[in-house]
Amino acid sequence: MQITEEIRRVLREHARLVIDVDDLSDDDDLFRLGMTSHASVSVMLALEDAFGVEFPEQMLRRRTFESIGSIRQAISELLVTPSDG
Amino acid sequence: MSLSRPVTVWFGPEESSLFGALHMPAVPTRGAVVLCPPLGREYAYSHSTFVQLASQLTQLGFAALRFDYRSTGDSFDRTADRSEARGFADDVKHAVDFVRTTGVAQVAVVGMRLGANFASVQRDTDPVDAVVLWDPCPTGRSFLRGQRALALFAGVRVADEDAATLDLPGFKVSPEMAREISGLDLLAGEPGSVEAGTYSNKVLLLTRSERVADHKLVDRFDLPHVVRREVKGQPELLDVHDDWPTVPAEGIATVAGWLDEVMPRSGSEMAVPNRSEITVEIPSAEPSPSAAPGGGTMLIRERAVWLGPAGLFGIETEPVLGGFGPVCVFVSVANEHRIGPGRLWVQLSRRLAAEGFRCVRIDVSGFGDSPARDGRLDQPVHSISAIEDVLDTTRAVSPDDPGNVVLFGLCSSGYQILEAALSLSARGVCALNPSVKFPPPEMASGGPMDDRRRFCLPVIRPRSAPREPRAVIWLKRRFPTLATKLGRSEQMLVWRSRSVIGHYRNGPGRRLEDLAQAGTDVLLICGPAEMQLFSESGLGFVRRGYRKEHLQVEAIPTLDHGLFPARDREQVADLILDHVLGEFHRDAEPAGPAEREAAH
Repeated sequence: MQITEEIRRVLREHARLVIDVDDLSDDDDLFRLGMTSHASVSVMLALEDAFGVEFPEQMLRRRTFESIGSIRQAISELLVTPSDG
Repeated sequence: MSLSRPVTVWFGPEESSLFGALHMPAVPTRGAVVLCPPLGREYAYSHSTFVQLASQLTQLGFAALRFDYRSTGDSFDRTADRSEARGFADDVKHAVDFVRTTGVAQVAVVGMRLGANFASVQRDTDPVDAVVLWDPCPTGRSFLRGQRALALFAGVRVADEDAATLDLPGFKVSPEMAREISGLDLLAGEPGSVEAGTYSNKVLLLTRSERVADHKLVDRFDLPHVVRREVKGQPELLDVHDDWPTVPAEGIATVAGWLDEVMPRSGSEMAVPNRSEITVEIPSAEPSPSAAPGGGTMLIRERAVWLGPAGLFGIETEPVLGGFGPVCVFVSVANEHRIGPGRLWVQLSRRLAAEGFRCVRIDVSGFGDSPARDGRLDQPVHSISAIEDVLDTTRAVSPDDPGNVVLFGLCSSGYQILEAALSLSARGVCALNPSVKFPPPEMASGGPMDDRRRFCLPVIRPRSAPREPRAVIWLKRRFPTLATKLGRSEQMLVWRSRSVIGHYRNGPGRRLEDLAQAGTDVLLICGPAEMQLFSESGLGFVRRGYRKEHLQVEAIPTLDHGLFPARDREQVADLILDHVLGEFHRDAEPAGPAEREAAH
């Protein structure tokens, strides 16, 4: 729950969506809702700051950041398995 | 606004000089402003902004030096045998040292994005009179990760991250460059600590309101001598992917206005050293009679040229002891300047000059440092004038026989060189991912396609709908949905019929065959989307390595349209060098104009 709230906070500050972040479901496509490639990079960097993780190269794909659900899954994986670097 | 014509200079280390364009005021100089550009795609996007800023500064009485860091733009590469932990920061120092040699009393530095970071880490050097940090990167590491992520999100097949290099779109970062950039951190230290602004006692920090990391920067630079302002227009300039960058007029005015306010008004004369051309020794594949003593290297010379009636800007690269064969002409791509994708034109020019060819890389009118033909700064990329630019260039560089050229272009300029080659009966053409399907600007207002377009598959997008008849207006009010559908169908019919006529007349594949049959040596390198257009329009079935007389087609299934991945550029460079050296090397007997005319 805390992870999701933190993701929503990061999206609110960085994603520049056309709708209110509170109205998003876990599966809503963020790119379809106005998140540009540049905004998604800001989201990525802010998530790294917020959770103290680093997304590895194989996670740097649009689909990792396309919804709250996909972001939560990626963050959860990184929190369970810290990267080598 | 007319742009001032700069004096071009090479400065800095002899073995790897930096290229600069010095814009001079018409009056005694108040001071010199050194403009430090961003890196990577941001460098390409911001080039026009720096040209316009330089021009505006000259109107305020300043001289303005634009320059390229070594291994970027038109500058020469860093030498491989010297480790440089602060290479970019050293280049800023070289630029400041150069303007100080001209005798100016006051010096200011303006840096955008990483350029601002490089300016902010100047240490152990004389302070300058003012510094503008324009949209700096909070940390260098976030810049590198952001650029890398952008490429991956966009599906660009950049090479896997490894210890050797970092492959960013259009920019290959060496390990020492990556180390230097990663070490830049404007957020380090306590907020308000004095480290951040020791290079000058007058600093302007321009940040973005929409970026949260910039709020930390504002806190960090809470210092008495730092003026902090928000600047607009940076997303439209730099955060573009499918759109063209827009020059931030307000940002330029803010920078120029602040410098005008804080810099002294007294003027002095400048003495610019004559460094308008440079001679360097670079490796050559084979020793030759004109090679430098020692063999295996060639002395080449580089200088700026202004060509044809439009005064197109170009850089000429040639063997010091004279060139052989056709002149190689590289044409700027889309709205970018003359260096080509990831500097491919710069690298090929120098490489081919080392093999004995004279090369010129040009900015088409209205882009880079070339003036617009009609004074417009918003020149359409597919303007017919770009084809005229290529033709004017060939007349200027090979006046006795304008056809004795090999033309090189990518995307829009890949198209322009095909049109020019057909007009000229050129010796050769190397077209990379030519863009042949686009809306010709002259058709946007309903006019016919220009007769000079023979490779174009027109896409019609009228800017405004024609005035509707009264009956349609009545129908729309009475049956809005039906009337709208009918109206669209009618318009589509008109547009499609014009488009079909264009396709029939202009099959680019068939034109390519015509070009080769007329004796022009053609190398076409394409990704799958571009190849399909040529296949469907007369070239027939083609595959990787398709060859017939005067025609070589290299269809590469994974080729990126803009050649953003480094390995795509390397693959294309190898194909071009093999082709040009094989077909046009100095030992080959060049065909004269009469022979080519006979072939037509």
